[in-house]
Amino acid sequence: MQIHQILPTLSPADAIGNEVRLMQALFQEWGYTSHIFADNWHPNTPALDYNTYNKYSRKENILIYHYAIGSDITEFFKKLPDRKIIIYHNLTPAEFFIGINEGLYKVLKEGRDSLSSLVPSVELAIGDSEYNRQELETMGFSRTAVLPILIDFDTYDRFNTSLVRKFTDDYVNILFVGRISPNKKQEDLLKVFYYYKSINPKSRLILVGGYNGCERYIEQLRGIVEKLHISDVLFTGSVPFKDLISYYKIADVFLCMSEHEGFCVPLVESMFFDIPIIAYNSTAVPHTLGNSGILIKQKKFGEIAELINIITKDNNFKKKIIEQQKKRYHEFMFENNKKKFHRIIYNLIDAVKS
Amino acid sequence: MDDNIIEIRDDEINAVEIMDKIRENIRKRHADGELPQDPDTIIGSASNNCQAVESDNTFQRDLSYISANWDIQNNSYSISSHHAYIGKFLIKGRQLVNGEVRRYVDPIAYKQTRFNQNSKRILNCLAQREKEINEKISEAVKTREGAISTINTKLEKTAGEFENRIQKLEITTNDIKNTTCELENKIHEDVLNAVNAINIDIEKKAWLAQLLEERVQKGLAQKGALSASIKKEDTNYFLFEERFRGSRKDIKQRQLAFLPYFEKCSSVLDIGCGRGEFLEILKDHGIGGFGVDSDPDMVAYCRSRQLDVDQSDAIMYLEKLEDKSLDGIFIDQVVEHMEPDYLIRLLALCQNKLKFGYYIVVETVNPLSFVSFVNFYIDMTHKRPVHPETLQFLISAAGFRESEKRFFSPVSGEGKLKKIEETAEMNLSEEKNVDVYNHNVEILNTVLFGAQDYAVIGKK
Repeated sequence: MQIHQILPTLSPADAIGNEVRLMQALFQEWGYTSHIFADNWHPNTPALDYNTYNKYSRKENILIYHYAIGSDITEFFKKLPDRKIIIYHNLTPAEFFIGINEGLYKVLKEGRDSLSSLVPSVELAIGDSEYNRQELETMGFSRTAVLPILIDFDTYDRFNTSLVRKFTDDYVNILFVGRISPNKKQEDLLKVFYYYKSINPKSRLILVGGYNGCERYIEQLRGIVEKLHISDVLFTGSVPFKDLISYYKIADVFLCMSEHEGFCVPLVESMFFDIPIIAYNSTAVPHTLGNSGILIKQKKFGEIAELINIITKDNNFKKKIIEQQKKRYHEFMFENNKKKFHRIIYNLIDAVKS
Repeated sequence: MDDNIIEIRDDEINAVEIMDKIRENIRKRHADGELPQDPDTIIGSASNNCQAVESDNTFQRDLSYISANWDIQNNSYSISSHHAYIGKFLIKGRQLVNGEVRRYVDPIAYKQTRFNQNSKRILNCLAQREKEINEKISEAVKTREGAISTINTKLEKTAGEFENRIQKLEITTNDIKNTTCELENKIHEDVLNAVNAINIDIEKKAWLAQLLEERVQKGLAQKGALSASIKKEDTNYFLFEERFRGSRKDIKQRQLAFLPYFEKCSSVLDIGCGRGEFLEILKDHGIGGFGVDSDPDMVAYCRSRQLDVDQSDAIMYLEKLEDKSLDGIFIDQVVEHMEPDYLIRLLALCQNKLKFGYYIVVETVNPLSFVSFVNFYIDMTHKRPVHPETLQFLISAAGFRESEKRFFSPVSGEGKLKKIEETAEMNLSEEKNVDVYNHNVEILNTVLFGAQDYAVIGKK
């Protein structure tokens, strides 16, 4: 028996790509032959062409499909005789991209339709958050489970010293990490910062994330910065991993106004780096935060700015928030999730043996 | 509606108190005039058309002013006086001065008026033309829009036709794909069935062969010399090692103790290399090494980690090597799986293949410790434990000039029998009893919980 994984795109610097490679290492550690098959891949993270999977396909093999966007792989996957699992990383609702990226709108719309077509052929559907699992259940998948995304924090130790030095001063650094994308509502971050800047002029808003495919949206955001006359807003674009760690190191507050998240890895990363989190209560955000962080129920920007002001000044309050976040972070530790994943896979193997 | 915009799920934090503080701060800022304008108003109010409308009005106003004031000639000026008596003289004087001044001023005023008149005419004319041009442009735009709309309708129609054709093509392509896929699946299934049939046939034959062999063995085994043996191939030894041998990390940590025997070597052979832990240690320290193992799962695993490993029987492998071609041999947890004849032959071959002055390290389970002796039987592929003295004797007998024994992996303090601590209140007789007891515990601990592994190191 072999355990393989299949996905549309394998990238070196995203949460799904990292998880796929971690899973491959685990399967090999457990003694199984395991390959990654993809349609597109980055030269630094090689994969096998998914069209060659027919050669490896066996009834007794387990094949895991990482689902985050519509792709030709879905039809290919359905026809294989292997035992099939999907890991659902969530699809952003297509409506967010009307007027921003018509191509993406179409792919996302098709992605949702073709996901439900997988119901009869999949043995187990895993969501990387309770929110995603509930979505899978609504779509009609009968056997579902939750497996928080696997993150190996041992790799989070190298950072860019010159960048850290550059931003270590008496400014308050407000951070958000995530693609520049309409569902993430970066315009609301700008509005909160507009208020906060009037309270504390010595402050920065750092927006880390690429904007590929959302060029129209970033233009709109730049227009807002200009109209509101706010200085010290930094759009970093897509950054190397070392720089990402550096931005977490210098951040004083992690602010998230996103209105659609399937899991939101940056929340766990902020817990790991002891940054107090203020996040809008939407989709998977409350599931990922658990009992930690501060949830925002209504987007009253002036009040949110005041909250940032209080948390950066009141050390006792900040300490309590961070303590609770630390407890929550332990639940996402690689070792714990590794065991959980091991149980899921072996239950599946045992189910067939018996 | 709940006015509290924040939710903190921590009993130690009072969210209401924080919300009050937020509101209080906002109230203060409002009172001090520090609260900025609503951002949505700013983002929404900016309109680029306002400036254009403004400049258009100014232009019309200026043009009306020019049209009304182009004539600067002062023809309506009349000279008069209210004085009854001296008025006549004053009028005469003023007429005289006026006449003299106008002689110089009138030609200039006349020229300027003509200039103004022409300018006014030109500007009005231009304004009129601009109006006409604008009207023509809007008319043209309307006509173009109509034409574009017609073209768009036609394009949409054509696109629709194309889409239909593409759909038909897609259906045809899908049919071809489905047929190909069905054919592929059929071929795949046929091949699998054929392979399964061959496998069943092989299994039947193997079973017959085993049956025959068992009968032969029964005849030979009257003295009980041969015990039933479990073949490694019968079980997934890889999973077995994962469960009982320990993590790769722990094993590597333990094997580091043997690294000094292979320093600066370039051709070290790991016999029965398993999951390749020692080969990885060698690689990490820049020492050339390769391995041999009979288990295909282990070999596949090592190769997936880019380690140089062959699948073979150890003796057959060594026989193929040139004499004196190795500068180190490592055999870890392997000899307990071997029959004595095999082990003796293996050690002799190792002696032949090793260069002069280099080391062989053979590590195995220590049967002198009761706990490791009992654990020995967890692994069903173990044949018999090898006594340290026996192994040292066999290594010397194989021709190695020097040999030494080393013991490893002692059982931790918590797993051992405990001693009694002497206290100040004890009398002499009690102290003596405690000494005897503790001495006995020490002897028992050595016998029961001694080192779990040992190694014999031979030097050629």
